[in-house]
Order: sequence, then structure tokens, then C-alpha cells
Amino acid sequence: MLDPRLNSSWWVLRLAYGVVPIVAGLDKFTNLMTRWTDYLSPLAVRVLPVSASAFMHLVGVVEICAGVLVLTRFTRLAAWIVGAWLLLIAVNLLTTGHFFDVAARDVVLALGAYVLAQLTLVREAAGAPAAAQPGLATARHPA
Amino acid sequence: MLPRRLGPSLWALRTAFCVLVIASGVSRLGAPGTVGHVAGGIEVGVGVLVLSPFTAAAADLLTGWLVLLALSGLVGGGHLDVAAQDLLLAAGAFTLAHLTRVNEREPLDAASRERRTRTM
Repeated sequence: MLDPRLNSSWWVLRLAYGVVPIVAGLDKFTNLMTRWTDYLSPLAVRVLPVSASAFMHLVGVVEICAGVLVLTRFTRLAAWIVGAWLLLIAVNLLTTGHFFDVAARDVVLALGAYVLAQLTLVREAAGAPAAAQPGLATARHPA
Repeated sequence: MLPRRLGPSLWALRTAFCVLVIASGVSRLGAPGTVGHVAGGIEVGVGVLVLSPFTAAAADLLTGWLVLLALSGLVGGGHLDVAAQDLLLAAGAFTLAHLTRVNEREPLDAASRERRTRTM
């Protein structure tokens, strides 16, 4: 049985890591929160085959998909994707030569995604049916 | 007790928040302005507290602080992306507080465990 405090942590992390990427992803098309292309490394801009704004639209689609996936039953997989994504964003920010504070926060957020993946695993294990545990089912419900 | 699998998660969150908050506080202390210095001092204090035996209380403080920062960012209208980051960090600090409390709880004694098994 899972401790209720772990369950509430899972829900808070799941909602936060589901909703915020969706909002941030949608904003890649509107730039209401910030001008996202400012965060793109000059190195990346040189390498990209498309314009910075077009690339940001692609980033937005990925973030929306990842956020939606977190809110589905594939939370654990999505948490790994979000964590890796946040680390990539941190690397991009480091190569800009600015925004080191934002990069550091993204690394901590990636750790939060890792914790969400681990909590999901523990939660799934705790919720497994008794029949899945060898010996236990037959001891309680003898044939 | 905390499931064994979550041990590294607790350790990682604790270390990460300690380093992040102390670095942020030191950065504020280096900038001009009394308000920034006071905020920086508080952040360094909370960062040290995260590594002390009072991790859960420090994580509660951090959660409240980050939610306030996010709200002020949302109300002020500037740096909404940073406000969104603050909300995610607050969720992480909230989790750190809960993982710490679950970890510090005494393990169930044999009689309690037996009663719990019977009621399941």
C-alpha cells in the first residue's frame, strides 16, 4: 500500500509536468510568455535547416505531445522524455553563454521529471494485483 | 518507510535544491541593492537548512517561496516563462518535503504490520 503523501506528490508532479509543458508548447506559437527564440543558441541557429521561429514551432509541438503524454497512462515514459528534453534545453542554454541561471533550474527540473518516473514505478508496483505476487494469491484464496 | 527505489530520488532532490538555492542566494548577494542582499541571505540560509536535519521544513519554506515568486511573476506580467519554471520547481520542493517525511517515519512494528495485512 502506497503512503498517501507519496500519492499526493505523484499527483502534484504529474499535473505540473503535464500542464506546464502544454502551456509552454502552445506559447511557442504566440510568444505571450516570452520571445522564445532569444533562448536559442547562435550555434543552433547556424546549424538549423529552418528559421528559428519555425524550429520553435516544432519544439512547441514536441512539448505539447510530451505534456499530454504525462497526463495519460504513459506517465513514466513521458517523464523520461520530459527529463531528457529539459537536459537538452539546459545544454542549449549553456552554449548561448548567457542564461546560466535558467539552465541550472532546468537541470533541477529534469531531476523532478526523474522523480516523477520513479514515483510512477513505485505507484504501479503498489497497485499491482495480488495475483501477480507468487504465493500470496494461493495463500489467501486457496482453490 | 520510503520504498528503496525512491532513495536516490530523495538524495538527488535534496542535493539539487541545496545547490540551486545557495547559488541563487550567493548570486543575489553579489548584486547591488539591500533588498537583493536580504533575499540572498535568506536563500543561502534556506539552502543550508535543506542539507540539515530540517530538510522537510526547509522544503516547505521553499515551496511557499517559489509559489509566491511564481504568483508575483504572473501578476507582474514579466518573465512568465520563469514563473512557469518556478511552479515546476515548487512541485519538486513539495515532493522533497513529502519524501523526507515518509523517509523519517518509524517503520511499522510487527503487530501493526500484522493488523495492516489483515485489513488489506
